[in-house]
Amino acid sequence: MIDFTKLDKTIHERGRLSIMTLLAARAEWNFQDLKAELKLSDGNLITHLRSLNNAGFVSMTKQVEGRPQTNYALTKQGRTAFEDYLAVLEQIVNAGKS
Amino acid sequence: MIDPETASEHLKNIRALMERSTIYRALSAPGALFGGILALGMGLWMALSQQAHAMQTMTLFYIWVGVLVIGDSFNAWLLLKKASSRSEPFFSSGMKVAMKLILPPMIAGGLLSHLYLTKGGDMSMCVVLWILFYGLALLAAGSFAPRSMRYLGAIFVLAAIICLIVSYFYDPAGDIGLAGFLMAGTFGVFHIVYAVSIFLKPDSAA
Repeated sequence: MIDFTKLDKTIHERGRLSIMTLLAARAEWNFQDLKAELKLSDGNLITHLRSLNNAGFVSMTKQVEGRPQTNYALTKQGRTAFEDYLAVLEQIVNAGKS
Repeated sequence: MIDPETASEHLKNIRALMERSTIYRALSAPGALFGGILALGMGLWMALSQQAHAMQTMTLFYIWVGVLVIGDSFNAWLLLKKASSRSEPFFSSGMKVAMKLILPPMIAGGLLSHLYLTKGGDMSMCVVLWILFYGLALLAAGSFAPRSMRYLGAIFVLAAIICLIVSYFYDPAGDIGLAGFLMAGTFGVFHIVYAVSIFLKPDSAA
């Protein structure tokens, strides 16, 4: 039985899913690199990051030394949510095959 | 609810994005081929030419620095072309991470070998240092590089270790010919084999 409640609506949106994917692939990303990689506007990216931060999936660290920048990383809760999300997707694909 | 086709498409996109962000090929196949042919030619010249044998070791050092600059500039130009054809920045996050990992062993190797030669060191052992530090640089980027680059790094380190072990039994002091053959055999042949393997299997993760 597939548990669709684990298909988190916050992650399911395309932009936020891409952000979660990048953060899952590498420990930390700064705002400019995320923006360049995903080709999103500043406003769009900030909105998505804020939603993920409010959901407790993404942590923000402001770096003040040298060139000021904000770094983003997945929280433990975010990683679990992302892994659960992938597991549900795999179950759906497998269910479609059988 | 989500149907299996959409789920499969989502998974494919996630995988592609993860690969793109975690794998960066800092050494392109044409760049490696060009560098390999250059190193093979220069290595054989150094091994066989009387003119090279008569040169000071520091002169040979700077000739190889020149070869490195030419090879790296060509590789950088290829990476720039590839990045612009994909509308991606040259200094992408992948490039920045790769450079942070590759540059420390490369700079350390360059400085150490330069210092070694200025203290009267031998050219063959200097080449072994280059082989070792270049291999370590490629291995340092291992977690972020395609498999073939990791293999290339491992082969360079292995070759350096073999040379170090052999040097216990054979003193290569003043043997410029050996230094040339080592450059041709490692930086030359290894890079050519690497380039051919990518041409035959162009999968980005390989």
